[in-house]
Amino acid sequence: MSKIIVLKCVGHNPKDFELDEAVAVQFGCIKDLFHSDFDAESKIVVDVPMKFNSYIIGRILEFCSSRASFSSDRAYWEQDFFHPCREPNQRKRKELIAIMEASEYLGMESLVELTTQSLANYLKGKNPLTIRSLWKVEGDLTAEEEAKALAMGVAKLGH
Amino acid sequence: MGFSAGKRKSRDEQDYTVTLASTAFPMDDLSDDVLERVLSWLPTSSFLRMTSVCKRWKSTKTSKSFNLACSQVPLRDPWFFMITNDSKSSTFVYDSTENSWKSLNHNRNRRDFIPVASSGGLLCFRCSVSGGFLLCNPITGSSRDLPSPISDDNSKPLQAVAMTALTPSSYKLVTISGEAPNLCFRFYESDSGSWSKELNLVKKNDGDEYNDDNDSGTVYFLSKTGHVVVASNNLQRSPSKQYSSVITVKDNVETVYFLSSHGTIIACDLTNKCYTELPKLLPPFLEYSIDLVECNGTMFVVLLSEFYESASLRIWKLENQSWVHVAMLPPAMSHELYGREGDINCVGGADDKILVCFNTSPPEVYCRYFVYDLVAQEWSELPKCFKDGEAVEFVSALSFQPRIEATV
Repeated sequence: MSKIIVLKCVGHNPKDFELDEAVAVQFGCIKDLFHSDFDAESKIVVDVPMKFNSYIIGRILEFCSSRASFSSDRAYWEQDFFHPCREPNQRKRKELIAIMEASEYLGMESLVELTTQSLANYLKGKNPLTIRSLWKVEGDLTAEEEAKALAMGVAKLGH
Repeated sequence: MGFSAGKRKSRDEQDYTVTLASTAFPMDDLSDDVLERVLSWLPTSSFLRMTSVCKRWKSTKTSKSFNLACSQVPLRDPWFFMITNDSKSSTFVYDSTENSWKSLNHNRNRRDFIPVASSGGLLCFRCSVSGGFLLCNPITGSSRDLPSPISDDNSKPLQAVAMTALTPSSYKLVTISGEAPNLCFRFYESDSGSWSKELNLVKKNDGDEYNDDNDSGTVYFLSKTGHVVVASNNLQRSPSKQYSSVITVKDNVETVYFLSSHGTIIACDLTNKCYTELPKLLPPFLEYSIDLVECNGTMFVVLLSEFYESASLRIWKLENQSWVHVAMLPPAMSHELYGREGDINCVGGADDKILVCFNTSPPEVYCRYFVYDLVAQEWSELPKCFKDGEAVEFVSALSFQPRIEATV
């Protein structure tokens, strides 16, 4: 009677995740599958792109199944799930970006909002050079373009 | 019953790290949509610095979808656009997120344009010669000239200018003109692109008269010694505060408050097309400086007065036709303002902050800037602003939210 959706993760550590309706409807890209016309007993297999490995999908599913027991998604994210701290280490930075991308792919709006806000908090107030080295962004502006970009808008005055 | 994966093994984590190690530039993989959302959450100063990180981040500044994402950020910490006595040098802002003074780089100061109002991310200037208005976004530098409201009767002096945001992308400018009891108003809505016709405001008389208005505008009162005295307070205002006013929208009623030349507060109900004079806060013979601010839809009055050989700076709000005391600057600090014959010019900021600019006129120039946080109920003081080693003195300020997406 109940439909089952299977998320099939490939790659280094392949894994299949079975989702029941309660979890699957949290993903914008999958929920419609529940309403489509097919045999009630069947199983639908969704191939997850290789770049989203099973660890990250597992983390996201963990978020989905546990969030209801907290007063708000943000409370769960900050207190229990991700613990945003002032200076994340490299592993945490990579995890944040991976969860962000996968949530966008799966259409999990709440997680996209939480991850983007956390990343913005990590970037806030930092020097562009620091940002490039911590977050592995390639600086491709010329020195002149950089100076021009910094000069636009506002310049800090001394005290 | 979520998923059947069972216990998460530590092997998964190790495998994850192995696979991720090969991703040299993970941020590059983020879609434009997600990257723009991240950057839209940054405080404006941070974002402007981030445009120097790489080409892709720089390009978000002019992207339509990025500007849309920014418009969905509900509130930004206010910046204060500072106004000096010589309006030539109005390029200073105080960034309340980073708590620092900044200089606007592309401020094209046009001659004869005095800053008069602000709302959302925009500032409004008025040309003292033509009566025309100029709206600008101080962050991007984009601006638009508005025509001067053509009045059938040019003898109606302008009393107040107010601006309010109708939606995040549209605004309304209001002018109040005339002399009591014949006040009128006009408005300009950005969507229509033209001025409305002149609308009259009827003086509403309440049951008990707070202040007797007579044509000559003089007020008489009985002093402590039993003599009838004429109050000769004519409010001295600096040019940038001449048309200063505050606009609130509550329960679908739009009200513009401004100070009359006698220091009384006029409340103009634009929705019902009438106005009243609010009850006075202090007897007229006391020396005082007064200003109005708006914070979070409420009008507050800031009052600097001197008695008992000291000065006090207080904030009041109107509740059910009577004044309620909200806050007072610590006496030790307000005492330093005593005897200086200073003036206060105030403005309310987006996150429940009130900025009070205390300044004295030459030859003894003395300026202090206090900020009251209505939520934390705390006073603080802004540091002095220096440019090229010299202190810059400000007379007043306008507050705005630093928004790249605000369009004129």
